[in-house]
Amino acid sequence: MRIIDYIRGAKSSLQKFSDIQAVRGGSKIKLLLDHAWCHFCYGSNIDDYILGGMYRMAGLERCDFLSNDRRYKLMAKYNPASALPLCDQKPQLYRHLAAYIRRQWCNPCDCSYEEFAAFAKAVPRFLVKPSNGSCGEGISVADTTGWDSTRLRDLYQQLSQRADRPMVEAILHNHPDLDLGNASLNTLRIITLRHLDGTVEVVCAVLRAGQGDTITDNTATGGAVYDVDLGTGIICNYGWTSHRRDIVRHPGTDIVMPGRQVPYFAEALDMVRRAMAELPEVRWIGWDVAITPDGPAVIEANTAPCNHALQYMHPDRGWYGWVKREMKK
Amino acid sequence: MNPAVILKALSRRYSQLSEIQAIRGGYKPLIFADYLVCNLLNGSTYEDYEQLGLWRMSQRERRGAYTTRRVDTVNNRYNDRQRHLCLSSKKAQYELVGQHIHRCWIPTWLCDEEEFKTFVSRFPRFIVKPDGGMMGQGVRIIDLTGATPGAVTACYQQLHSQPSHLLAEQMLANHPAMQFGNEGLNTMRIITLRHLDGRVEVLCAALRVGSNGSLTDNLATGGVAYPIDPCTGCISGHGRAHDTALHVTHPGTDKIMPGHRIPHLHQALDMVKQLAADIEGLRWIGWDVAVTAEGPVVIELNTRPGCYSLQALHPETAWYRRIKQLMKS
Repeated sequence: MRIIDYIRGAKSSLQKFSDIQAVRGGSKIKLLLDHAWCHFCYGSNIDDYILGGMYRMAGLERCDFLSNDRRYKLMAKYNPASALPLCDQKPQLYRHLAAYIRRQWCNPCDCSYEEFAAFAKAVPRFLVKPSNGSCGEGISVADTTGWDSTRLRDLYQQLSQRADRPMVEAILHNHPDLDLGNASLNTLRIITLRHLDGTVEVVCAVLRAGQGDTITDNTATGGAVYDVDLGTGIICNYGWTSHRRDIVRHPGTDIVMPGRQVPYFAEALDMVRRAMAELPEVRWIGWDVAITPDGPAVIEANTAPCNHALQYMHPDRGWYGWVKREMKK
Repeated sequence: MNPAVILKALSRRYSQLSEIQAIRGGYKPLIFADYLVCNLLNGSTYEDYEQLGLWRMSQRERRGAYTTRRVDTVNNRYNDRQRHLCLSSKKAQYELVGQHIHRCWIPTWLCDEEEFKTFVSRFPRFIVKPDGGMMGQGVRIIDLTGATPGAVTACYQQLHSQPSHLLAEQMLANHPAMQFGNEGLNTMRIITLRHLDGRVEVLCAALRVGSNGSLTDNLATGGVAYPIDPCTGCISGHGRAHDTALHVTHPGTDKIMPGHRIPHLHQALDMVKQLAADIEGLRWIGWDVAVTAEGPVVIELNTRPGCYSLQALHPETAWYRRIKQLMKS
């Protein structure tokens, strides 16, 4: 990372502290020191402190806060290292959960040119994803419509030699009810937990929707997150972005989000329960599930899901202690 | 005060803390001590401590929270005392608000029998409220449909002689879009603040809906409050009752509340803003506004609106601090 990026990052972080200070008053230095204290004692990062509302919490509540470092601790404890490649390496996951992927894909690093060409012929416009990427980083769209074999072979060679071992997959489309005027596929993040007796519990679900022309729905790229009620599949509260926590209309549109029904929601929950059963070693997964006109499709399985879906979106309790307690049942 | 009564109250509070302890863990005596400190320093009742989430907040956040004792502080500081005392009578409020009441009413302790009979002939089923009542206490329906003149006279004499002055009012019906399967009238609580330069700002709006067959929509009588987004006019989040549960569907019905659009909301906001600008001596008012098929109707105004519609429904903001800031501008 270049120095200029560090400076930009620090400037943006300081701006976040200034925003809080403007609302709650007090000294910015105290806030920064308190943030440093939280980082040391509770393993929080700046998003935990500001977006997760840690700055508002009493000491005992902070002890229970599911912070950034703690989610990695949970992952290390409950998701064995031997099972991680199956979830984190997309080609392996796609092969293992073929019934739930519901789209064509191919891995240029592991397939012949002929197989890649056959894929490109069937799906001329496709997504290129790093095999082990996260937060939507490194994803791009390739359009090979009308390409001759020379160009296609060049692309194949370029992809197969890339260090991030990208894979290519068909672009899925949103269900019409989830078409929110943005370019990206909007996905549900569903967090599941497996108890000691093997029963799978769905802990929470949120809808992540991108904004404008970005091709991913992550908050890091301007997307918004909305809490979905597990009983009804309805968006039931304000949404939030990385800057605001009171989103009612989806950013850049007039679409009112609370009260919106997520289609095929019960099917999506059922699907992740069944998919979890096929990963018996893993106890804690954040599933990304797209809702297409034909039903839900697994996009990926995260073994260390970001804490925004759980802790930031459901701040009424500290989830770290809760997860530890549930894992013992 | 009788020490036995104090001890009994403290003991009841101590046993109630089990619910908080179940969520946050820790030692009950320490939580109890924290509750007492919070009560002394921040003027919070046990209900505030539990329902406003004060038990989760840092000391600094607690100092900014809008608690029950601070309701009085704000009222004493920003509302004229004489005006406040005068407007604790509903009769005085109705006379002040004038045509925005949109219903017929008579003070039963002042009217003569003929006036009462004329009122009953027009509205044989009417509602009776104590003139100085609050939180829906003492509100009841009297139905004199088909009653004999003797029964009407007896009713008049009974109401007329009540030491707690009673108002008889025409019953209003909810707008079709404001019917949620409950019996009573559902009202919005809109809180307005007048700045030093005379501008009126709407701080929040919440819809209160009765449940369990209650005639009133007050939270004290089992109602549920839902936050309203003033820009879109939609219910924007979970409902909260006088417990820690969050409601997506209204209790006792299958009506999904988030996303529900409130009819005539902007008309109601304009009406209360105009009224708040015109009322001398009161800078801080909570308006109860019903929406009928004809439009918004003022039910009453509160010079010391409770903390629930602000601090519980919008917990991100330290409302006491914010109110003090806004009052200076």
